[in-house]
Amino acid sequence: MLFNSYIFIFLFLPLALTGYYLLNHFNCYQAGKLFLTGMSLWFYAYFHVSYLWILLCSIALNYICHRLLVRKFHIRFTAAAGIVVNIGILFYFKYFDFFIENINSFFRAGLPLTGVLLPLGISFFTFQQIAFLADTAKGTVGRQKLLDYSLFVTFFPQLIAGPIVSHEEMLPQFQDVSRKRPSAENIYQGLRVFVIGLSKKVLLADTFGQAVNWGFQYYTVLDGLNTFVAALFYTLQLYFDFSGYCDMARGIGYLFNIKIPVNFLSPYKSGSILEFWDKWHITLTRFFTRYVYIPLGGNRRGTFRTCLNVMIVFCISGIWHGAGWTFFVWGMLHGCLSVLTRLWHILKERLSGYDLFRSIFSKKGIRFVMRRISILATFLFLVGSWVLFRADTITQAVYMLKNMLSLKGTHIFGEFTGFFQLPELWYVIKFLGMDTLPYAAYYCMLAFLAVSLVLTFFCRSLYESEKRHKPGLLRTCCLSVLFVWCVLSLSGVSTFLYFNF
Amino acid sequence: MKTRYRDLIRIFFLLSLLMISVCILAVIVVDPFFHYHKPVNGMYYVIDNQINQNPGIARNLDYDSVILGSSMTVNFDTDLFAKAMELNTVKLSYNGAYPKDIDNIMQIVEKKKDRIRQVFLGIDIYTYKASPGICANPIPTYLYDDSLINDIPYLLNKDVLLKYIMMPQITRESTPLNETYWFWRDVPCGADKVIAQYERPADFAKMQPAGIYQSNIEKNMRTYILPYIETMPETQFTVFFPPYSILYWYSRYADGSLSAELAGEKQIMELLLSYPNVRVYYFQNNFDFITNLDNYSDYTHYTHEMNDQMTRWFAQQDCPYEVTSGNYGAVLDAMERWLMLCDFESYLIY
Repeated sequence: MLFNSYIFIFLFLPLALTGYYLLNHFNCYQAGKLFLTGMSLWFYAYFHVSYLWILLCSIALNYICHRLLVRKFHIRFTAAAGIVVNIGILFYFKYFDFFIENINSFFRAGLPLTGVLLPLGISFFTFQQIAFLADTAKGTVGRQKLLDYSLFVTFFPQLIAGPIVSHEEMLPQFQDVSRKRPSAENIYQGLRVFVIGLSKKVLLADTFGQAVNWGFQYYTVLDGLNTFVAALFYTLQLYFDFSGYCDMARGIGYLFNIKIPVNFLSPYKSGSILEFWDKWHITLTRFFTRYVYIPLGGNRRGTFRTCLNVMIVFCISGIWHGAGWTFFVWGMLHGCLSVLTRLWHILKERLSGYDLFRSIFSKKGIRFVMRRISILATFLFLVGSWVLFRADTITQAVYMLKNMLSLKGTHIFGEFTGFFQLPELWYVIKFLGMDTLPYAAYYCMLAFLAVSLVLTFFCRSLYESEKRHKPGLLRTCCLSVLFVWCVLSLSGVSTFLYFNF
Repeated sequence: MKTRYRDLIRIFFLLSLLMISVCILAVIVVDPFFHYHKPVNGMYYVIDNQINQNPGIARNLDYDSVILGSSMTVNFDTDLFAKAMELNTVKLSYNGAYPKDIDNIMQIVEKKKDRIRQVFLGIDIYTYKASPGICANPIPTYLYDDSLINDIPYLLNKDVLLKYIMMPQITRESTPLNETYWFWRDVPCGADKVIAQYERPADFAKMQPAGIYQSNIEKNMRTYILPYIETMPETQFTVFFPPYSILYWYSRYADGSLSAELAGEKQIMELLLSYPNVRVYYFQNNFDFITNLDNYSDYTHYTHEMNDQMTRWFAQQDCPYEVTSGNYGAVLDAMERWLMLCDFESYLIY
C-alpha cells in the first residue's frame, strides 16, 4: 500500500487511527500495540502477501538473537550469526540474481536466475534489525517484549522506505502512556506535514517523473542540453519523491503521537558532498557511521585509513541502494569526492596557518561567493551522479554523461514540455491570456521548474518551519485545498500516445 | 490553544469533505466517460480517449452495431453506416488493439446482445499472432466492471474534472459521435512522406515455417473472439482484413514472417467461416490500392476514403473482396504468390 493511494488515505489510515485510539481510550495499551502491528502487517502484505512471511521470519529470527544476547549467550557468536543471517537474507533476495548474472557474464557459466521478487523495504528493515542486534550485543538495549519489538520493526510509516529508526528513539515512545491519547496539536501538525509531503510526491515528483521516464528512455536522441534537462528533472524528482515520502511518514507519525526522525534537511543547499550526506537520507548516514565507519576505525587511524574507511562505506552504500554496477559506481563516485573533500579540509586547515590565505578566506564577501559556488558545484555533481543512479546500464550512463559534457544543443525539446502541461496550469495560462504567446508550451515547464528550484534552494525545510509554524484559518484552508488537489491528482487519465498504435 | 487546534482540524476536514463532494457530484452529473448514464442534454462532451470512454459508450449509449479493431478502424464515419446500412453504429476502436482488448469491450457489448444487429471487426494479424492476454495499453478496470466501490479513481480525478468536464464547457466543443477518434482523419497522405518514414530493410531473414503462429492464433481466436460469435447467433459479424500498404508486406518479406502471417490469416478465416453469422472481407489483395503509396500516411495507415469505401462494400451484396469458405484458400494462395514475386524495391522509388 502506498501513502499516495486512495485506499491508504480513505480507508487504511482512518481505520488505523480510530482503532488505535479507541483501544487506548479503554486503556487496552497492549491491544492497541497489537492492533497497530496487525495494521502494519496488512499494510505490508498489501503489496504481495508472500512478502509477509519474509518479514515475519526476519522478525522472529532477530528476536531470538536479541533474547540470546540479552541472556549473554555467546555474545560475539550470536551477534555475528544474527548479522550474517540478516545479510544472507538480504543478499539472497536482493543480490543473488545480480551475482549470478555476473558469474554468467564473466565465466559464461549459464547458471539459471532465481527470478525471486525483491521484498519491499527489505534493505530498511534488515538494517534496522542489524542495528538493534549490534546495540543489544553492546548492552545498550535491555530485554524487549516481542510485541514492542514487532511494532518497532513493522510500524508502517517507516516500514518500506525508512527512515531507518533506532530503538532508542522509537521504543520509549511506544511505551509512553502519555502518548496514547490523541493530541489535537499533533494531529494538526501531522495533517500539515502529511499533506505537504503528499503534494511534493504527487504534484511535483510524479510530474517530473514522466518527463524523466521519457528522457531516459529516448536518451540516444537527446543532445547535450536535453540530456542535462533530463538529469536535472531526475535530480528534482528524486528529491521531492524521497523528501515527500519522509514528510508523509513523519506526518503519520505525528497522527499517532510518535516522532519519527527527520531524514531530509534541504540537502541540495549543501556546499560539499560531506554536508550533503549529513542532510540527505540522514538516518542511513547515521547507520553507516555508527555500524560501519566507526567499527572500521573511523578517522582515528590516520588519513589513509580514514579515506579507505570512507570508500568502504560508500561502496556498501552504493550496493545498498540497488543491485547493479551503476549503483556501485555511483557509490564509488560519491566516496571519491568525499575523500577529496576531506583531503581539501585537511589542506585548508594547514593553509589557514598562512596569513595570506586567512586574510583572503576570512572576508565575508569572498566567503559568501565561495559558498554559492560550492553549492552550485555540489549540485552539478549530484545532477551528474544521479544519472548513474537512474540509468539502466553503465554504458547508458556514460553515453548520457558524455552527451551532457558536449554542451551541444540550442533548445529544449518540445516533448519535455508536454509532460508539464497540466490541466490546472492550462487554466492559469488561458486566464492570463498567455496561451497565444510564442513558446506558450514552454511556460508550464519553466514555471514548474522555477517553483521547484525556489522550493529546493530558497525555502526552509519543512522540519525547520515546523517550529515557527503558526496555525491559522487561512493556512488551514490552503492546506485543505492542497489536500484535495493532491487527492484529485492521485490518478490521471492515461492518454494515448501515437507510437502505441 | 487546544480548542483552536480542534477547530482548525474540524475546518480542514469539513472543507475537504465539501470540496470532494462537489467534485464527485460534478463527475456523476456530467459523467464525461458515460460510466453511469447517457450524455446530458446541453452539456459538451469531448470523446478522445478510447481506453476510458469506450466502456461507457458501450454500456450506456444507444446503438445496434459496433465497430471494433485497431487504428485501422478509427477513420470510419458512423453516419455512413446509417446511410448505407441503416445501422446506428458506435465506434469502439483501440489503437493497436490486441484480441484481449476486443474481449474486454465485447464483455460489455454482449450484455446488449439482443439489440446488436452487426459487429464490424477489423483483424490485424500481427496482434493475433502475439501471446494471448496482452492488451495494447493498461486499462482502468474500474470503468470496465459494474462495481461502484472501485470508482474512486474516476470520481476523484483531476483530468476528468478539468479536461473532460470543465474544458469542453468553457470552449463549448463537443465531439460529434460519428467523428469519434478521428485522430488521423486530416493527417496528410503521400508516397514521399511514407517512403521518407519507412525503415527500409537492411537484412533479409530466412522465411519462417508457415505454422509458427498457429498455436497463439488458435488460443486468441478461441478465447477472445469465437465465444462471442457463438453466444450472439442473431448478430451478423462482419470481419475484415484491412489493406496495409505494399511496404508492410516488404517488411514481413524481409523479416521472414510473410508466409507465416498469411498462413495465420488463412487459419483465422477457416475458424470464422465455419459460423453462419460471419462474413469475411479480405481487402489486402486490392493491389491497385496497396501499391499506390499516395493512399497512405505511413506504411500501414490508409486514407479515410478507404474506410468510406469499405463501408460501401460492407453494404453491397456482391463485394469483390468478400471471401467465402469456398475461395478463401485460393485468395490467400494467390496473395502469397503475388507477394513472393513482387519487386518491393520498385515502390520505394519516388
